[in-house]
Amino acid sequence: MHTNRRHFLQGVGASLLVSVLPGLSLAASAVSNRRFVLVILRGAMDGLAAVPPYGDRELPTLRKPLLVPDENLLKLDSFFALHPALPQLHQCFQRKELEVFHAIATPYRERSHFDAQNVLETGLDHPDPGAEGWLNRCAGKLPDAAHAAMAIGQSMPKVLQGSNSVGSWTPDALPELEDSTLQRLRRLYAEDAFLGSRLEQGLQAQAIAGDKDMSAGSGRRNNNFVVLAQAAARFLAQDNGPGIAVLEASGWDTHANQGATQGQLAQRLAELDNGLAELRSGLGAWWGTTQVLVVTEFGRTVAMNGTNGTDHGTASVAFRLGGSKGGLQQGGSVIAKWPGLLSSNLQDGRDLRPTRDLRELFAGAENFLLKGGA
Amino acid sequence: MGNWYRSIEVAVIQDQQAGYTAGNKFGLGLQPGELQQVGRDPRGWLQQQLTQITRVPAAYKELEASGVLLKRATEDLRETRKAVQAAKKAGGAEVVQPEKSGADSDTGNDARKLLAGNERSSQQELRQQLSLRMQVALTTQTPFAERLVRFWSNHFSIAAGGGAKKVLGEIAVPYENEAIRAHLGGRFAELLVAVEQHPAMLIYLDNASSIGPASMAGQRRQRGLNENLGREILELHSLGVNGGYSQQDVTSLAKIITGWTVGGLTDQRALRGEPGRFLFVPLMHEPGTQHLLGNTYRDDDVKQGVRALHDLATHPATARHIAFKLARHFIADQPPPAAVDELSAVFSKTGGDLPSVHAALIKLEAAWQPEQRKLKTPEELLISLGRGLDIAKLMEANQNRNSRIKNNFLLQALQTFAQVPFTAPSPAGWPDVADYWGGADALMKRIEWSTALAQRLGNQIDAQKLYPQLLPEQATLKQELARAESPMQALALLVASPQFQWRS
Repeated sequence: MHTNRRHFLQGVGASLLVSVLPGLSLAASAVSNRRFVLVILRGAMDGLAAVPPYGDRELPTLRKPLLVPDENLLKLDSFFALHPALPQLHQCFQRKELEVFHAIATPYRERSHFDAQNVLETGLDHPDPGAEGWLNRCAGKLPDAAHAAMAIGQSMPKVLQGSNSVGSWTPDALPELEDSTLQRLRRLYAEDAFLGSRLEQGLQAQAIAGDKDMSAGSGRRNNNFVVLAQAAARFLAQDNGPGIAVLEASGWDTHANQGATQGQLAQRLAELDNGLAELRSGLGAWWGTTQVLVVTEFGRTVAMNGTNGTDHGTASVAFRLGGSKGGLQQGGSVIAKWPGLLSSNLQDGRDLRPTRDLRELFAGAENFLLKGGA
Repeated sequence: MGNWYRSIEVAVIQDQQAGYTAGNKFGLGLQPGELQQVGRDPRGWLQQQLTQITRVPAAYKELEASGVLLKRATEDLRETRKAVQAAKKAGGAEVVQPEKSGADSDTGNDARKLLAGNERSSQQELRQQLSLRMQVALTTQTPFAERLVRFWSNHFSIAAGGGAKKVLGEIAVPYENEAIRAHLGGRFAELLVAVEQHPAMLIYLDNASSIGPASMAGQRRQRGLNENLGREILELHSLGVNGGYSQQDVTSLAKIITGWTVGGLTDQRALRGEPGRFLFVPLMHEPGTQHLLGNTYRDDDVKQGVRALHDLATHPATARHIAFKLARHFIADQPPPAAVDELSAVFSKTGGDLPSVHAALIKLEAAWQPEQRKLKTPEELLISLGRGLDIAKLMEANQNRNSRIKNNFLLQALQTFAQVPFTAPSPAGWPDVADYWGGADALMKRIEWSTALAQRLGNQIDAQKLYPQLLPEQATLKQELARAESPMQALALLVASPQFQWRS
């Protein structure tokens, strides 16, 4: 009966019926009681740095300079740990509000950011520039689809593009210049006789003014993701708020000077950690029925490259967070069929081999949104 | 494929650098797909635009003439002032206990409100005109012609100011169309006269209220000569600051053009004329013969000034001054002297025939050398961004949706970068050199703004595909675009790249 009623609602137009027949609003609100947040980490997060498998003896042989000393790690179990820049995620883990998926990837096996993000966001087997985003399709299955989803950030991500209309919110203030973009621009400007020195002067002036940290190429701290997470929480915590929100954080493409306990990647992780904590606290009572999925397009090479960084790889990590009714299956555990880091076990002899399809989590999210299950 | 196909391909590639230069340096920045059209015959593409240079763009169709706008603006201002006076008087009569009563401040508020309302409608009119002007820049199919209009508009710069000059903001674009665009198909002399007789210039440089000391008005009233326009005609508009004129010449020219004013500026009967239009008032005109640069000009009313301007327009110093400014705009901040000589010779030989001078620009080899480059001004950067990303189309497509970019965001950016058109800091117009625009802080601002824009549009645009349509291939940039960590970052790198900051 319940199912029939929902189908009926979809066919006729939920908002109209809800206003005419208040009794039916229960069916709609039962669904919109749940909140799903997708966080896309663009640039390929190094899963081996975010969640180091410190129990795997091969790890130090391949990337010793990139490793955080064991005693500084936030241990999850006898094999996996969190990077020390993720203390609030660690607390979530202890509260059983976090599942960590390791050695996970989409079916994409090449190493282009653009194509990999396309697969991540369309949920297909292969890149297709014309395809709709999987969350847009999912939003279409929710009652009152037009108000079901919202993009929080600078652009409408592919994952929300498609035939269903989607809301959006963009901060008034311009986003801060991301360090990873700045470093690339510095390489370009270094070749310009007139502008090159002026860019460096400008950066120095900003560093002196004190609002940017330019020390030792460690990059500038910025707050873009935290601002987005706070905004997302404000929207989602409204009774008539959207059921779906998408956030993005960039700057994960750490080819050079990735850092270990501190440095570029540690700063990205800290910002992610802060943003997720803000999201959780901002949601208040809604956190109980919220699921947050944090994903990236692929992982990075197991071995360090020649510039103290890592290159494009295959499998990485995904985080699933949620409250008591957030659709988690095994909160407080690392879920992984560990493929091992012996070179014979590596994907193409270089990358962490995927043992789980990331799209299982997409299906899980849809199931959670539609039925409340995992 | 047969050989014929290959030979065509080679020909296109050979002309490609010239295509980029035509579109980016002579034009306002390539639009996607434009290179294919331009690249076939870059010089021909520029040349044919010169035949259309006086045509008013369709976007300005609804724009009223400066006479109509100026009449309305001055009447509104006069009405407002009257109302303000009345409000003050009324308030004063009611005030019994000034120290206790709120009436005084209420009337003060009323007056302020009236003036503020007048100010607002002024600014609104300018904003609307600037919005149209941006639209023209983004969509024009004759961008070289449009660049020339803007070059000359900057040469004959006007700026909205306070007081009586507030009205200039309301006739800025009509001024550009009527005085400048309309005269780019003829001689420089005609352009010069049209500009100096346009109400906008007469108001901007105070000639509208300049009175010959020996004129009837001068004798009767205690007011007299204002040298402002006379000086700037010599220093900026014609001979140039080193053009060999003296203070005596400035005073003479100022006297020669006394009586050149605007109808309807005041209630005075003699100044009524046709409201908002050029008006010669004999009562204000300095009588007698004047001497200017060794020439003698007998007093034949308005014709005295027209003859003086004609002589200035064909003076050798004017030819050099104009030639230098054009060469600096179309070649480099320090243009090769030979190029300046060439333009100057064409200017002199043709009696200042503008189509001939503009055509000579196209023939200058130095203008086509990629190493001769110009740093884009902020306005040029924004226009080239808007064209390169086809913002006009994106805005149209997004019209009824939750748009990532608001319609006026380019205008807002002009404010951010401190280059709102018709607000240049001096009558010399906006500086045309990299040292002025390329400061470290300004560069950071460009980069931050461009990357932010790219983040909002990056997933609607494939930067790697767009790149060769806008800029010639360069190894480092190509590599960085391919390696970008997201489509948004790729677009950010493209539009914030050093290459995109230059016209070359």
